Amino acid sequence: MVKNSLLLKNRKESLRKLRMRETLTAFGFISPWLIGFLVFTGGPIIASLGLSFFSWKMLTPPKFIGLTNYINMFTTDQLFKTSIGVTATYVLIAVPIAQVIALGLAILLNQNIRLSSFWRTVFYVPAIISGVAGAVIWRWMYHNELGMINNLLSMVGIAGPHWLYDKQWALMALIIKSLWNVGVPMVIYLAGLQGLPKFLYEAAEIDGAGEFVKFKHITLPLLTPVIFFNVVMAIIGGIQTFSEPYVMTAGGPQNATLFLGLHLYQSAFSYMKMGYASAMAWIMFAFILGLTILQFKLANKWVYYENTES
Amino acid sequence: MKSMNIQKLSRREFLKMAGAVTFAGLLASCAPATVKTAEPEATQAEEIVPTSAPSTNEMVTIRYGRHDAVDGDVENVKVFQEMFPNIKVEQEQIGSFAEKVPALAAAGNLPDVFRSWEAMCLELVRADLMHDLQPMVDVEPEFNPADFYENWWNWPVVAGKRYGIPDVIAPHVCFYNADLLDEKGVPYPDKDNFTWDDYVEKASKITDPANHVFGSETLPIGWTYFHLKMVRQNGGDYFSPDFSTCVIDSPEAIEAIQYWADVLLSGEVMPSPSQIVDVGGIGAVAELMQAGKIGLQHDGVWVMNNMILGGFRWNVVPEPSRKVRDTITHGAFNMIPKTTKNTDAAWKWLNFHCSTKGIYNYGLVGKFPGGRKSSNLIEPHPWIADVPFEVNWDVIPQALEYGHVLPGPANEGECMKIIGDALQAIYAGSAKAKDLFPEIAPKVTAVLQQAA
Amino acid sequence: MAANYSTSPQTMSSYSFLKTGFNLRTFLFGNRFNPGLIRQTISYGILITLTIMFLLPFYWMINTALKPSDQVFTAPPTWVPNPPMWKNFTDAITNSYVGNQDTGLNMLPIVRYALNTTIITINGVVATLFSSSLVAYAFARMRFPGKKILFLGILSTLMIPFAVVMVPQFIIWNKLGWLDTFLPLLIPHWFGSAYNIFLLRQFFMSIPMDYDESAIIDGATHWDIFWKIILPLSRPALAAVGVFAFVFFWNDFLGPLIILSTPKNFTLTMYLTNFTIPYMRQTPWNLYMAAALMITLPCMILFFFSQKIFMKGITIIDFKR
Repeated sequence: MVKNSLLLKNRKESLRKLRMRETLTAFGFISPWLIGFLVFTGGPIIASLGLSFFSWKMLTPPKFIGLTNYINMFTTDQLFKTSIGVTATYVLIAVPIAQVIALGLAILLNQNIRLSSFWRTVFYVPAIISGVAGAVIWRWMYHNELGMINNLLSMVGIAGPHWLYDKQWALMALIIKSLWNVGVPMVIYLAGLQGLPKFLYEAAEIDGAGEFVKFKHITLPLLTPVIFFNVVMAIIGGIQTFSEPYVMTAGGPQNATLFLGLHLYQSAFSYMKMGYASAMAWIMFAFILGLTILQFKLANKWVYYENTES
Repeated sequence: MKSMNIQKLSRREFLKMAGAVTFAGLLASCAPATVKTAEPEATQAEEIVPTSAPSTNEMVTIRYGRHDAVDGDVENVKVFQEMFPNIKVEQEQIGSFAEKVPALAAAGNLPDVFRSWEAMCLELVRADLMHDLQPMVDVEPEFNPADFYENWWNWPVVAGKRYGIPDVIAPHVCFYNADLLDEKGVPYPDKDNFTWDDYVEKASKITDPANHVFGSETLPIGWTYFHLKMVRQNGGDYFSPDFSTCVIDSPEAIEAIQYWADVLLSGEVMPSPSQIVDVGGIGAVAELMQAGKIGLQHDGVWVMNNMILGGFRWNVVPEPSRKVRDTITHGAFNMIPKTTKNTDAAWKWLNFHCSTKGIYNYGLVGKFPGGRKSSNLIEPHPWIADVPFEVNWDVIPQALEYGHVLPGPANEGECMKIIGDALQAIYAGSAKAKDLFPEIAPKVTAVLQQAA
Repeated sequence: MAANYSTSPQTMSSYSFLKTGFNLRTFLFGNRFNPGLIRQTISYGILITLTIMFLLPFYWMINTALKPSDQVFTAPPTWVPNPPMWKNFTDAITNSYVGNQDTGLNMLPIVRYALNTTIITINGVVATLFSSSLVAYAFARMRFPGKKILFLGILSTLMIPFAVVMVPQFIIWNKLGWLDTFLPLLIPHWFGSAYNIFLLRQFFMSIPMDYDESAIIDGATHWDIFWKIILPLSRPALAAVGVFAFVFFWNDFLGPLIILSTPKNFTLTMYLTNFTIPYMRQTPWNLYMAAALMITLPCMILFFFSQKIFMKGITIIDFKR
């Protein structure tokens, strides 16, 4: 009996030791990120949190003002409210549509069609064009008289709106432009599709499964980790959208495209209110974090990992 | 017994981790203090006694920062190097001015000599980051302050202290396409007597929307300061002279903006903003002019480059005015931050750059006249281009005499946002100046008076 | 709930539920038509339509790049420039806007900028691939306390906009003396990128544990599994990360703009920016587009040829030793 309990004790010991080893190894693997965070990113991020309780013109030292920034944000700043509306509209429309198109394209291009390399490059090229150049091209495309879009529309007899100069259409113009960048999630979906084990499909075909069944029961479930990634990142990025409105509309006309990210940027550098911008950043952060945690919790229900541990 | 992964911690892995942890510790200990102490390391309030002292013999490097392209001042650097072999001038391009300048200031690392546009100049002065240059000017032999145009010379002066010295200046004038005016049978503007009503009348005779031809170029709506020009031409202003209150609700200002808004909205004189591409953002909107589709345009002298590319015959007159002959003149101020370690050398460079020849050389690059009257006497004049027809070139330097510098209010970004939004609404026709301006004037005044 | 396919060969017989005999294809198209052909036609049809829509802006870019100056702003727009100015491409390189800057080297500025950009990009790609996969592996395959919180922490760094972090970071660079050097653009990327960590973690978690378990039985360490099993099996994902990283660094605009100040260090994106400096002269958009096109070329070529790696499916490792 003593021998048994000794064995048990030794077993528990070695279990603990192994766990500790695994933890140490894990931290070894993670050490690059940890070091980077400590040295480069952590400080500034924490600094910005602290600065949100200060007023900081950057040219002069920060001044402590407590919660004033946060209070102003929700009471006196009309533009903040406007920017929330603009950003929410954009995310709710652009994100789902973009994901559906990206996935559809990836499936389309995953088949054995001729010149598949060419097609994939075609859809990814927009994402390659440098941000500012792309925005300039689209400003031009949306131009009322010199732009391609209205000229093409007029060929079929439709008088296009003034797009970027029209309060009603400016946001829609930016949404359409964002769809031009579906190449990035598309490439990720492609990588996901390419990584799917072929023998599953072969086995299914032997059993006589049709296209739709194969898609629904093999492709989709195995793609869920990738879908999850793309959706989470699209939302995180979408809420922070900044460079398109910055270059294409400067928030206009009349704040119709004043995204939260742009209002934040203008508060920081145009109005030189870095403290206030930091407060906005952290409100944005809290919201995105909450949304992301929610998605992770929901993920347990629909995302399927091959790992037996998740 | 799911995942009892039997791992052997290899030596390699252990060493890796130990190394990583140590490295992290080392780096963390050298990590700089947080940002809370963001004060620039201002040198104590020493009184500068510059320039009469002979230069030392050690090699000194001066950073000269500007927002435009670095090759802008190559000639001056070369000549300066020959005069002062032990001072090396390194030109720095500060792209994204609005972001990088505050960052540099917060880091205490502004260049030794720094060329800044108007509003940023005064913001930096308010933050007490710049040297008073008056003592240096006083000691400098043959500086000749009276040589500068008064409006520019006296602008960056706060409480008797002088913080910046101008170099080149780009005025706004009115260009017209002589060929197009001839074609439409419209007489040329009179350079001594040119009113708003003249301008609009001539422009409406030229406008032919069906052929995409317009009498006047459109108004750059996104460029809030542009409209200050018209307000001033009617006797008003955005701000009081000491930038303490917003006076945009004066009848003159309301009248001025509404006049041009009505002109724009009538569609009979100028294209609407959506009809120009304006991909370049604010500033140089001259695309249709270059394409020969515009009769008249009043904007900065850089438009001249487009006129030349257009290939037609053109000419220049002063801006049209109403009650007051006025125009905007653009430029920048050269300043010396307090954080410089080589005040003496910095001043030498600044002094050279802003000397008669220095300003002239710099003006040659952008084809601009200079802030010194003597620079504008040197031939060939920078603002004169080689074109095969006659142009009223004197109009350009003449504008420097009656033109005014842009304002430099506190919290300029926010003020401009409020005013800009109002202008957008007025020019879109969704509001009237007489309703909006009285509404926003107190708001802007409140922003102006916000403590730093 | 999606059917749970285990990948071990024994359970493949669970496909039996599919033997219902109902075939949608036959139902819709009967046995006479070749459904493959219809599907092909639809596929190509959609593809071609979308391609035209996607390439339209790109066509406009090329169109503008080839225009002579007086056709840039015509209304209605010129669809085909006449004559096509191939000279614009060489002009964009030697144009006085950007061509005369003293870069301290006896070469055309654009060559210098291209070199700088290449250094930053190659470093960035290698650094990102290496560090992000390392960290991702830990989250995909290992157990340790605080894993969930830490992962959320990593993700959280993506949720703070750059604008509010920029100035504090700038102050750090200044204190380190790294301003106007490449260091801030090279070093931080060796410490993992949250976006790619997340991406690779998802991919790694899709790889069945069977391979791991076999390897462990054979005495492999975590490093062995990482290097010899997970990485080779993740080729498409790694290719995606590599291409993204390349494009990101090649086109990175704000980073270099803030850090660099002397031309000898400038990158290609700053080359483009110099075309658009306000107040000095109007931007020659035809030259700008020509330059932008040339800058895009390496990314396009890279992506096109990287397709090979995307195409390779999983290589199944034989564990029978």
